[in-house]
Amino acid sequence: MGKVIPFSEIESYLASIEKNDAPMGTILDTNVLISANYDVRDSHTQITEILDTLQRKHYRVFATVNTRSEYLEFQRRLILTESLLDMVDEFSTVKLPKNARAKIQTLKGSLKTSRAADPEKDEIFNESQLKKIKKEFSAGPHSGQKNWLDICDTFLKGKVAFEDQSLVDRGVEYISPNDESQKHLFDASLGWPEAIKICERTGTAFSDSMILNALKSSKLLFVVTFDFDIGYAALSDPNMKDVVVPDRLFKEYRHYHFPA
Amino acid sequence: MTKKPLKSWKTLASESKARRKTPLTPEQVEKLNKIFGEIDKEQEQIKEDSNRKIARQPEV
Repeated sequence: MGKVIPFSEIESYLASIEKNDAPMGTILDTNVLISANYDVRDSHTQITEILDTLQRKHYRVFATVNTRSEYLEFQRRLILTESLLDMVDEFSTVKLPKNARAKIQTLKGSLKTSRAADPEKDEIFNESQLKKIKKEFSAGPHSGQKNWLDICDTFLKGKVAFEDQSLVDRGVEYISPNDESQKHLFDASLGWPEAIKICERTGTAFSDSMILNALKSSKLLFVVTFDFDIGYAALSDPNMKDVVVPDRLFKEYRHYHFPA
Repeated sequence: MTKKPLKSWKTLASESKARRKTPLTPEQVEKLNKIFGEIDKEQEQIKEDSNRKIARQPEV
């Protein structure tokens, strides 16, 4: 069974595992990468301290390709949201089409409402909201959406690529047993059947099952996550390894007891 | 080959935010305003055409 370790004990945990011969590395989940990059989140300072500790101790940090995709998806929605909201700002010199302005204002209100209901929610448009806004940048059903392409060219071009590169600049590597520099990190094959088994066993989201599967197939000893379910899955699996989580989350596991 | 030193996570977060918050240049604003002005005109035209169509329909 894996252990759940609170952020506050990371230093002593690392000291304890350094005695093992395991490779010095860890896998990060999407929310860790997002919080490390997005200072609006309460967890930003906490996670950057953890990641700087790992960097200082020369730990390699890995992410799955699925995590990379989820991270870039968040960045896309964040950049579009901030750009669209800036254009409806009272000081903006951009004169939006009337219908588009009205739609953005309405959906801005929805963001505020859902944030008020759940303070942990990011004030970022979801895909369905972005699609509704996109429609307003077209005059009619036959006029196409070239104007939306101009918006993408102005606001998105180069920026998603910049965010992707910034992960590399942070030393994030994409975990793969096919990568020559990582071959020695694996002691089992990394395949879909095992990930599916993890998902079926605990009902964990599939992206989380892929992270746990990568951890299980590799010689790495722990993952860092903000996700309760990853720790839950680790505690419930006799062959799983460790999960490092925020102290707030760590306390929640006290209510759960799994046979050793 | 020497490995490039990694930047701190905080530094990268600040750089990312600065890049997102880069204001539009006057040229970009002008370009967008031109496009948006045309959308407004087209949408107005579609609305007028539709109103005219309704007005032309014979009363039942």
